[in-house]
Amino acid sequence: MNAHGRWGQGRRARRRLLAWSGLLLLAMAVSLMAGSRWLGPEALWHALWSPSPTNVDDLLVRTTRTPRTLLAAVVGASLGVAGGIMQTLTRNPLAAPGLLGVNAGALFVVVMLVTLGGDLPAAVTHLGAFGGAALAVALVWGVAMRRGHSVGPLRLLLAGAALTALFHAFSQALLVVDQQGLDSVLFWLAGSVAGRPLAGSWPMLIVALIALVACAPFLRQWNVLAAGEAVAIGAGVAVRRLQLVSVALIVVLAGASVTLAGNIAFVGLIVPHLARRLATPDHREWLPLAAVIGAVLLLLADVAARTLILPREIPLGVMTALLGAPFFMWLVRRQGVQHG
Amino acid sequence: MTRLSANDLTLGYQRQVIMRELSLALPESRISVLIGANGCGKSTLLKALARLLTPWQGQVMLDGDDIHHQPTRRVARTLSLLPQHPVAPEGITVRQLVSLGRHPHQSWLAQWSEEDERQVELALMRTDLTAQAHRSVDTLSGGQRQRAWIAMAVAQDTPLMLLDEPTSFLDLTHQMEVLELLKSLNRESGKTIVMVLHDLNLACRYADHIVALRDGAIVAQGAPQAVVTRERVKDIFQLECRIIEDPFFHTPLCIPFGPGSRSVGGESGLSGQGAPSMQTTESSSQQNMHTGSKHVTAGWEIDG
Repeated sequence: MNAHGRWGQGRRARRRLLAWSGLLLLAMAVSLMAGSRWLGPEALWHALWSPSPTNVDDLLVRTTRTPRTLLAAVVGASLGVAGGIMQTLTRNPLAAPGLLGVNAGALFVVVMLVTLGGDLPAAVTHLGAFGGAALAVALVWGVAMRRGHSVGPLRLLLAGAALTALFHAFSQALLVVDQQGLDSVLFWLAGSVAGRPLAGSWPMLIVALIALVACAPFLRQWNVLAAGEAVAIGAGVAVRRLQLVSVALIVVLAGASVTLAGNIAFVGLIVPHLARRLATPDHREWLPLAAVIGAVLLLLADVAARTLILPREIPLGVMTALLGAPFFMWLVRRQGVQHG
Repeated sequence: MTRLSANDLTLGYQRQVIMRELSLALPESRISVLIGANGCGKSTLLKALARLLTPWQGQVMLDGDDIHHQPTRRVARTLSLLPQHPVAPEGITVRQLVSLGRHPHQSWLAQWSEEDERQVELALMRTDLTAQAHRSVDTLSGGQRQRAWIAMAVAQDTPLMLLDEPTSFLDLTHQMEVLELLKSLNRESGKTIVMVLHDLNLACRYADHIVALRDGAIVAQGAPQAVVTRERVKDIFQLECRIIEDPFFHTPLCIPFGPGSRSVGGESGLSGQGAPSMQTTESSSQQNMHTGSKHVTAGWEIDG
């Protein structure tokens, strides 16, 4: 309570976070059990704690579903938090990390690598995608920034929209020239957490987790920034530095997400709204909640994606858009769009 | 005495210069009001004084040091700011908003302290918002909302407060309420208050020190009686007027005349010479120009 000052609701918020964390564990369990073969709780228990190398179910859980579950959880959390920071930074409730050019930049580099190099090791594409995301955002920042000023939210969004269009144009041009490349990058376009061996994903997973924790020191400053740049400067927030840190965190979180799971629509947009609605405008309360809600939603979306039209799968990005768009419309109709 | 001053300040946006080599010293523990027509640069000047705007040339000095060379958190413990038309985050309560003012006093080690708590309660009390503390800022009336923002600045507990048009969009009652609040902060706590106001008569009423600007230059500064004269109002606002003495508060009161204005006596606003006025001739007002510093003279030369 003390650390929260008179801001948060303290105990009530912690209880809510705890409840959602319980849901997260449940969603993870369901994600491990569901699929082309449904496994009961006993089978899951067996696979997790006393696996035998010859049991097919154990293998399925350990080699396929565990990576998938971890990926979905981390990517969902990262997108929820990245979207939340993005909305605070731009003071725009419609802002999502993709608007900074993160996805477009990542996609462009991946397309380039695929058309130029063909089959590349995962590490190379990962680095490429992440580098592309960072490059795109650096360009957006460079265009939006003026010397001696903080970056205006509108300039940032406009620069982001322009460079996103530019990168997509490059990607499309490359794909038109090289039709075969399209198949290999379809994963990035539609988004998926399926069939990605954990071995290659570890570095990005850890990077994303570190970035999630690294948000902690800035929660209180974001509270002040949410009241506007001028107010924040007046209250002693180093706004330009905070903007830079925020963009860097968005790059790492959203860049890692797109690297790990491709283009996942709507999570970064919706989850912060949901979290703010359930908590208070205090970032110390709603941003952690956004992480947990993002993880839960992406896990459930992935379970739906792989079970609805068995034996085939719906791409995860398509699934989140299918679920997210109607939900968002409902949210908008119900009570306007809130912004914290 | 002055803690906040501007030295040879040149300010502008993009490629447009707003003011050149302006110097100004603001008297300590007084209420200073910047007046001038729209676009004269008064808000720009206030922004520069509050370090929202980096000067092209010159410095804003706070306690003897360039304000831009001091850690922003340290500046925020000396100087608080209420910008024009602030927008509160949706759903935030009055108490949460006011608590934001404590930000510069908090750190990683010392987060929310007893002192923070005390200052927030005090700010709520002074602004008469204790009963509204739990309410969402969105649900407040315009006057209450503006008081809530002022309460945030009060909670910041700074000897200097800068306010950019704190009364705009408020009805007369709430304008008075806000100005009375600022006056009591000045009189009771000795705070130095610098603000931009549009209403000339309220400025005369509440200011100890008026700084009149035209086209990015200081035309005159000093006590309201010295600064606000018929000639100068015409010069600053391109407005015909008469200045009379406020019968109750004895501050200058400006009666504006439009081209079609006719007084009860049938006198035309433009041609009439016999309107009553407080005798603030040029010479007597110059004698009254005691305040400020050597920079005052620079402003006077422009005035002729």
